[in-house]
Amino acid sequence: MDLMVVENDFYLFDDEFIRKYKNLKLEKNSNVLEEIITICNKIYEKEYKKVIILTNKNVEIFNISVKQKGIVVANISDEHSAHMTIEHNNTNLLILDTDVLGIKIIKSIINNFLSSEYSGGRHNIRVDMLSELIK
Amino acid sequence: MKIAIGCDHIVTDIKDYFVTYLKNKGHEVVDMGTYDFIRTHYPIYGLKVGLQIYNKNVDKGIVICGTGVGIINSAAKVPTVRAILARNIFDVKKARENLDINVLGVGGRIVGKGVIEEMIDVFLNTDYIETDEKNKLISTIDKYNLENIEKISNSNIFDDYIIKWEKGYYSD
Repeated sequence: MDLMVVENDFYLFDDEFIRKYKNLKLEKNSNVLEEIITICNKIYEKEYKKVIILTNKNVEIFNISVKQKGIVVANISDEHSAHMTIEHNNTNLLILDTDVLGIKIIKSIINNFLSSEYSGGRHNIRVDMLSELIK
Repeated sequence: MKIAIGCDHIVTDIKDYFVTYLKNKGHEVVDMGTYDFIRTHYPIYGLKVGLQIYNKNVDKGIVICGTGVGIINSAAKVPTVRAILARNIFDVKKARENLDINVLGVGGRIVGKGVIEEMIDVFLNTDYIETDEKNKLISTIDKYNLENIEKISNSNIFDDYIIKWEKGYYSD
């Protein structure tokens, strides 16, 4: 199961967009900052495989989540990074800053993120090293 | 200012460019590597920069890899590092003003040199705008992962993985 949390009603996703992603659960939350550690724990416990957060508190949420167990977090704003970070880093948390991104590119970034798979192989040493830093 | 900088082998030339850029601006630069294009691993260099911050050896840190995600995660897992992976000046200014970030992450294959130059200038010259609420959050963030500091300060932390790498365990 994947999760998308949207902080701001301005970013409305139509049913057609959401239906494309069979495993995606959509939630609205006006204060993700209060919930982020709970969300990270659910990732660590494998309740969620990929989580996407749309927020303008990206700096705060990045810095809290990056220091939780099992989290590899990408705060990015382009489609290339969206798929590369899955392929190379096995990223499980994507933060999109609503101060800088419009809805159309957000949808394209989300599509790249959810449609990509981790490559493994040589990248595993880096993912293993990252997990060594917080145990 | 005294600044630590680190990168992986994908962007060594970009890192080297910015070592010169920073020195030309009068800053003292601690180049944590990597120093060539031989394949290596971003956590090694992200951790080195992060520890320079934790040990207060430097004022700020800059880390660069392809997208920037891997190396900023590596640095940001070190206690007292507060970081941003930035793509534009707005990102950096917001992060400096709101969380007093001390490490800047850059995707060397994402952002061009002109933008990186200006992001670095803003990173070094923008003041944190203090409030009680922000100070409280910073204090909370700075305590995360402190329980692991002895382990992650150990220079042998990645030895087992590197041995496995050299034996071919991590092949494609």
